[in-house]
Amino acid sequence: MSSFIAYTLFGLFSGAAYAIAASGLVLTYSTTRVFNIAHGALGMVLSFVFWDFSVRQGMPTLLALALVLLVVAPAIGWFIARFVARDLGDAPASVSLVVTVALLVMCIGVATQVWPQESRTILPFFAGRTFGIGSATITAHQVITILASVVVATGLYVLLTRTRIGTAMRASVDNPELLRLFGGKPEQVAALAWMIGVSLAGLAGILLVSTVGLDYYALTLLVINAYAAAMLGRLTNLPLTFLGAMGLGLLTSYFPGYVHLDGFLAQVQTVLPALFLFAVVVALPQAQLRIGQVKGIVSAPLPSPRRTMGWSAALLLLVALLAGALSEANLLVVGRAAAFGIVMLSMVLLTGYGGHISLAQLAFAGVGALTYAKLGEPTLAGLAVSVLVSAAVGALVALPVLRLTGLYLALATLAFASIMDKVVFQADWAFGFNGLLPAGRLSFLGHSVSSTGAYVVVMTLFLVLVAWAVLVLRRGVVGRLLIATRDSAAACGTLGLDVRWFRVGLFALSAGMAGLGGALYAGLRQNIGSGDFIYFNSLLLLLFAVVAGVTSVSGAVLGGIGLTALPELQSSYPSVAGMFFVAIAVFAILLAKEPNGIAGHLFRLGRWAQDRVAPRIRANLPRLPGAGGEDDLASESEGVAHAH
Amino acid sequence: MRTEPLLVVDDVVVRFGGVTAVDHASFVARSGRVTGLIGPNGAGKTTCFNVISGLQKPTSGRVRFGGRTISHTPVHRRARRGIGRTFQRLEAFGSLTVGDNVRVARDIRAGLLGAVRPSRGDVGGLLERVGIAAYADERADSVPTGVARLLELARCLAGDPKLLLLDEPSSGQDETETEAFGVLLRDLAAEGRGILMVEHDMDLVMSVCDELHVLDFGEVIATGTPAEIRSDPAVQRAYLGYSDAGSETRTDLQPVETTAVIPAVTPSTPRNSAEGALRAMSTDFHGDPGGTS
Amino acid sequence: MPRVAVRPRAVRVLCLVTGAALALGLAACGSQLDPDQVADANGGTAANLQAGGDVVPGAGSGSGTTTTGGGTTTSGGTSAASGTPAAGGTGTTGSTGGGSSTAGGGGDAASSGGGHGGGGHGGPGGAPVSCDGFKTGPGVTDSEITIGNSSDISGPVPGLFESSQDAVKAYVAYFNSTSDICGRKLRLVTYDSRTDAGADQQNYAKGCDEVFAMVGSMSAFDSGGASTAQSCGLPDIRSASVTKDRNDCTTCFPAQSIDTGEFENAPAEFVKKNYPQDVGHAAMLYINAGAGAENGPVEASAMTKQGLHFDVVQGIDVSEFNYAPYAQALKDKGVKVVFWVGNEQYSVRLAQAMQQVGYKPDLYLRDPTDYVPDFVSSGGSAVDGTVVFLNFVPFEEAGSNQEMQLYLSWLQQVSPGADPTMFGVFSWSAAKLFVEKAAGLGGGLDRATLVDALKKTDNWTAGGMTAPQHVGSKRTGDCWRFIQLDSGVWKPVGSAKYTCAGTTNGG
Repeated sequence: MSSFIAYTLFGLFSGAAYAIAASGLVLTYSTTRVFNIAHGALGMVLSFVFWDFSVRQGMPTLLALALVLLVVAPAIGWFIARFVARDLGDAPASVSLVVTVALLVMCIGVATQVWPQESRTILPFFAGRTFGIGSATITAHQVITILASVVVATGLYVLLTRTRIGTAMRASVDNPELLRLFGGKPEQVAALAWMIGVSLAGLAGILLVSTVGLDYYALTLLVINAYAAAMLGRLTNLPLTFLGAMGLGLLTSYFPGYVHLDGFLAQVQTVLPALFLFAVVVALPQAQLRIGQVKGIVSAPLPSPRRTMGWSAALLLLVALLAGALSEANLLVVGRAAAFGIVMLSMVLLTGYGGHISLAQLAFAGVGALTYAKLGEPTLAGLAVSVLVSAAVGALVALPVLRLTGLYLALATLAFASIMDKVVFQADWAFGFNGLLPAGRLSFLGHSVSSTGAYVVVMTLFLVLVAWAVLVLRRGVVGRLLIATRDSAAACGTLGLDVRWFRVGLFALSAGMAGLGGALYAGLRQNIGSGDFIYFNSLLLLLFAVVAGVTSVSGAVLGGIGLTALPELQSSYPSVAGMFFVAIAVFAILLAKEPNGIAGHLFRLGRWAQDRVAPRIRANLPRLPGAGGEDDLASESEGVAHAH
Repeated sequence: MRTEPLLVVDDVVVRFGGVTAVDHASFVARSGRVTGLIGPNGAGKTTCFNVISGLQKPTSGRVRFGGRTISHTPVHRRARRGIGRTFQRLEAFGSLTVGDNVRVARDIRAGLLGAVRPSRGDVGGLLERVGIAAYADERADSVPTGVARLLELARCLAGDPKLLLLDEPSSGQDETETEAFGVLLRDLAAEGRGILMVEHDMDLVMSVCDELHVLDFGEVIATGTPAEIRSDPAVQRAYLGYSDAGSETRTDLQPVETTAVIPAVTPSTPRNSAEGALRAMSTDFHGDPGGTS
Repeated sequence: MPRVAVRPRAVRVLCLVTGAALALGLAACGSQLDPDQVADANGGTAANLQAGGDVVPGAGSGSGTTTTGGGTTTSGGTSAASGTPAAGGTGTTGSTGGGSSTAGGGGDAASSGGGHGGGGHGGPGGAPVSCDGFKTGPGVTDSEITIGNSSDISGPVPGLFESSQDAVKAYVAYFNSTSDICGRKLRLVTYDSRTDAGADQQNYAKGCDEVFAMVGSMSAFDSGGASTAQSCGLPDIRSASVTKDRNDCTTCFPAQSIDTGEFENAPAEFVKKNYPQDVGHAAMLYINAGAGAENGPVEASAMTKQGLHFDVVQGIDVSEFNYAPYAQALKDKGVKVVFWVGNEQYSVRLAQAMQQVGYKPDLYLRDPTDYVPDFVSSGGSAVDGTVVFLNFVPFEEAGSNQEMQLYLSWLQQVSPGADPTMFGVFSWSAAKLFVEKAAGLGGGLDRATLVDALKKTDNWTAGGMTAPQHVGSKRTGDCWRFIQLDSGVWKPVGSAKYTCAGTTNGG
């Protein structure tokens, strides 16, 4: 019995931490309609700030705490509300997802840049002070955490029900237009919600940091457990969220004391929060098709078939030349860019044309690679099977969330990616933990493409073929339908289209393409493991897709190159590694609403050049092709960009 | 053979949280006739359309179409059975040209084999019929509102619907355009289609409708011919806020969003007090996070 | 249709890379070095000879329950390893304990040839080796031998294995200041494997063209370059191998040798000897992800075979931050000896949770991952009393070992302020191994002969810096010693000598 009390107390501690994090998430979502994926990351940054104040600068703990929670966090919240999240609530869910994913990556970049990796410790509050309850012992820090969660819950309740601004906030839960009607200022309400939300993220971070440790990723990702709790409250109901968080905390606490699991079940236990998230999302009542003035998006212009052909040939020729000139190691880089380019093309279809966000594209690529390696059949048939398996898995993901759209669909893919990553890819029958599966180079009609150079050319050929396929789709009936469903799913429904099954098909097609990229990459590397498909990279994939231009084929190629270049650059300039994250995040935020990205600007530049500059250039000597990996990559990208 | 009207809305209730948007509404629409659905803003008209077209599940009640209950039929099947609609807030495919908007509708109706079958609808002809052929190659998000509404109508017609639900189709049109639109409506009805229309332009309503249903606070408060409705005291009350039954007949009935009394929200006001205000507004906005796509 | 049929069960350096929490996982990288049976060192073996065939456990006894290495112990002090041809192999090298001899000082110094072919060349240590016929080739010119190092520098945990690269830098600086190999100085090319198997592969592809050998590399995802290194015959003397794929690579040799599936007996023996009353009340907790999930139960079963009884064998999720319920369960079940598999960050968390619930096991026994300053500074009073088993000379005792002194002082030269680490120690050891083998081969040096020589290397100690490592056979080294944290200071438990015991198949 005394043990039971102990387990309960510890569970309340975990639950309290989740509850604080989740209520911040809910507050922000319910007032601004922005689901802040970066909630945990903000908590991480703020706990670093807290460390900086209290440990590095030696401020008294209380002062540091007050500064962080009452000054720094609200300032960040205000800044986000004012400059980052403005009008996001009215934007499609895909835009706000991109922006908050960018925020997350930015937080990690800022933290690594400002506080380089070193050993840092934050002691718990009143370290060493404990209280006994029966035979159970609980630390002062844990008591404070539990109390803080109660204070937060009560405070939010009072704020929302007993104050004018709180009422305005609640009103905006139901209808922001209503708020405007009352003469309320939705901007102010949103700013306040963000300020409180970020403060709560900071509080959760600081309360957890003494146990979790100052780590860029641990705190960032811990909040996924809070997502599940928030989801239980359907992102708007604070009491339910609180209950969900406490329930989750208690469950995880009773578990070691009373349950014993082995083998596979123990493995499953590690993804329980992700499974919980998936289950809650799936169990949600059907979302109505949202109606409301969807504005069209200025899409990237479609290239004429002749130009596509011309530039495809140019790209292939360039890569063929490179294949002869580059070293093995640099060829691996070019091949990687081609593989990522194919995965990016799958996002052009899904996100650029279809308007859906998937955070599992790398997982689909992993399925393709796994199938290809497992089959041990490095032929076109083996490749085709890999693509089909990936497509089937893609459909399977979309099926349970058939009824959902936007945010929930994206969160479901996030949960799926994490489950694939933790349980499936690392399973014995798959890649194995940190293991590799050998994969053969593709062979055509019995002729194996064994040299890396030739294989990279083959990969480029596939990239070009997939790009053509995407363009053909876009030009045809399916492309029109894709754009139509993106612009207004409701209208498509009332015109007789089964939007849900269309979406399943789209997911399958996109997953199949990603799987092709993964399978080809496996062949390039000749071995492949779970580490190549870590799902955090799916977030970067999304950002690069948006920055490079997710609506165009050229954007995909650019994005593939960018995603390949990023780690190389970070490795070359370690002192500013974090800044690369920040830069890509800033670009993503700036470009989130203009999904044509850099490619879009290049098209404009290209047209301008064609009209004004081209005649003059033609008069001059043609430039020589650049030498060396990066240069060539750059010119390669230009080549394609100008294609359209 | 015509045992029941084309569309029967039977005792439908829709609640959003504590707000009742549609309150036991029952009405019908018939083939070959233009039926008007009028009422002040927030009366639940658009919600009724959503229920009929399948975008909104009713809390209770049922909808019958062509003699069959369709309350649980998904949106796209209802469309295939012959219900077409336009939207009060435009739902044109903004990124596509006007012509492509109609092509999409045609493709959808053609089904999976659409790509290989010969096209069924003549896109140009449809655009011409609603009078916007000149805009065929312009992006739908760049055309005037009035044109976009006609585009939605053309898009609908590509599916050859038996019942057209038109949500404020004439707003954004000038007088001559409205006149031409009225003629078009009569034409469409003459082809045997049923037309159910939410409209605020009372001149248009009174001139083209065969029958009117008046909604207020989610309830059907009156049903009848335009002439009957014009003189109905309950309608007068709902529209003008006074109950003088003897007052002179007005033909320029206008929606009253500007005069609706909006209760102030005070700190002590629980959510339900916002109800009145919510009702005064268009109720097709209801927050479901999953719906934000 | 190759399959990874066998999981890298006893891969010792465990990097728990889990998808959801990449960095959580990486942070959980650490050596889970198998404890060996404490065969009770008769510390008396005054002979400073520590290598030698006499310690070699019976060759080839792979899967038996217990392979005993006998009770030989070696002191942590200076030692001379003599090359005794053993089991058809040969080629340990001599380094005299004193002075600067360690580096082998070129072909004419104290290195013995690792012999081409079955010990034919393996004369007594110190025999001069001819530099005649020294060939130039990839990475070898008339004036330089270029070596490479590919370690995780950037990535989710920046600087993860920077200490390995630093150690090789330090060794090269030290070597070039004192010696050469047949008139050639060393040049080091550094690569960053970015905690990414693809980058590792890329680096080894570069290495094939650019360097003669890779030395002292350390990567969490080291599977990527394994086949690349093997296919171009690139000798790869690593700090340690993390994955089975790397261990299977025929040109890759870890300075810290580890065999998959082989688990040492030392911790169990340590418990049996020092805590006989607690033998029936042990607990194994482990990070429930990847290799941790695999190794925890396996270790528990191996120690069960040694006579321990485990009341609790339980995994804890990587993202779990509240360990108090687990500590409470240990307390309730009357556990006396606690083992933990996972890195120091989580170890601290567990220790703090145990302290919080007012529970103090008789013994908290840990692998060398806890032997880092961070463990002491962040653990505070909660971690006091922790016992760590170790396979190298503790930094506190550097004074007793020439090689360790060299490592520490040259580390400060190339990277002032850097902390020495276990990975650094074994990278230094790898660099020293390279130099001695290369010098020993003299004019016969090429990639193939070097690999050959490495294959025959056994009981490598890097001049007494580490416990004997079975570099050639890649079998788990079975000599360990124990240190305990006492008021923030690590102190030897028992004597400062290695206890060499057998190993047990943990399956």
